[in-house]
Amino acid sequence: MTTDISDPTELLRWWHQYQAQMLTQEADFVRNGILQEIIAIRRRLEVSCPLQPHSTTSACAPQLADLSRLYSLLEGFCDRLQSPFIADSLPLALQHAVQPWQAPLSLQVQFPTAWAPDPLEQAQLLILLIKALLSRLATWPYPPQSSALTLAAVASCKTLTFQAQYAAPLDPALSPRLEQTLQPFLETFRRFAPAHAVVLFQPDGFSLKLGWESLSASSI
Amino acid sequence: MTMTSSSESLKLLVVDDHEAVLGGTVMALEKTYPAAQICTAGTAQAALKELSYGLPHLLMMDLSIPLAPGEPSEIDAGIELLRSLLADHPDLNIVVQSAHVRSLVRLKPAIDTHQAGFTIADKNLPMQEMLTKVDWALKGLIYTPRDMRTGIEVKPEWLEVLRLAFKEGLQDKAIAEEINVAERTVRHYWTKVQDALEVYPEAGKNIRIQTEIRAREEGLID
Repeated sequence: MTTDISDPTELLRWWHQYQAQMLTQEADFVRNGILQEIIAIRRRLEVSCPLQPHSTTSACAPQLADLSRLYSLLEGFCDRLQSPFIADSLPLALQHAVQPWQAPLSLQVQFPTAWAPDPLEQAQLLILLIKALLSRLATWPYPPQSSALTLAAVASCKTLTFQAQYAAPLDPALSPRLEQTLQPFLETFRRFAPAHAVVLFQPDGFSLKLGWESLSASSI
Repeated sequence: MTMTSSSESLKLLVVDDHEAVLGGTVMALEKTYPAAQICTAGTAQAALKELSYGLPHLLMMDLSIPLAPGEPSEIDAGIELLRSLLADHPDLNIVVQSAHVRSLVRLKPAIDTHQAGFTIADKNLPMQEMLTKVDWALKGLIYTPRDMRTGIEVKPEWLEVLRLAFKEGLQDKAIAEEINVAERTVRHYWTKVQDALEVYPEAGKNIRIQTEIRAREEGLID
């Protein structure tokens, strides 16, 4: 599909998709190359190493543990290059992305089982928005008492809602900084799809509601 | 096609284009199933050719494979091969061993309706865990990673099996008659709901009782 290069939004969309393709290629290079080599080394060790005397533990257990750590580090790197599930399922991609913050922010998630696919650039933006939001909240003086992230869709209208409730009033100085973090994401998202966002700050809480019309990946 | 994991006259097909990984996997399988006939294929084309000679008891495949000799490895080739296998061979036990297991979410509907064993093994798993996944698939069990689901996904017919088993006390044969399906289908519903509840075989534990405990914890049965 040709890109209308006179349209800034289409150019932005093209650039986003192009970057995503590049990052996917790099992630696949690591997965198909380096990770496969680590797996091959692991298998050779597992098959050829004897057991420790009077034990069911491999004599190469320390080396196998080192390989596992190396594999996890590289796999994490691949996941940062390209969010897992991003091309196939926004709910699963979000579920994966928020894992590091679920315990620290007492975050409950509610995502539907079925979800019509979103254009890649929209899905990526939403993931980055949520990651930026949760990273910022994790730096606040104290964590929320509870927080919740939900995805919902009615016909072609989709919404992403985040709420955080705190046990004590928040420092008013925190709100502008958070808004500064969120606004570029929200404004860029509005370039890609008809969308509206409501960001509400209360003395002891904060909520974000982003709604957009679903333009399926095939209609772009 | 489900069977116990006896190594007698067992035929396994392993599909992987990475020679060192393939070699390690085959060595591990030979140790565990010394009497098994183990065939290998390095491309999607070669895999289909092997299958034309007769179905193995289990097919183990990577997702990133070339379509044909000389072509680069691609996830799409593995996904399309698996799609055609699920469509054409509903009774084939399958293990997907890959560094790209998350891509399988694209085939979730087809995996959900597969009638035989289907397990997913991240290639980074220790060998013993990989062999456990092979054993489970040979027994007709299902294992899919938790992060491929947003929550507990249970179909009405699986719930009905739980209800008939734990509230009415029916055995599989009676449940099959009650809901008008084959007994084999009832056993398959059990593996589906056990995978949804993350209940898998554990030494010393009764899997049906574990299923009941988890089902009650999740509120699927009173």
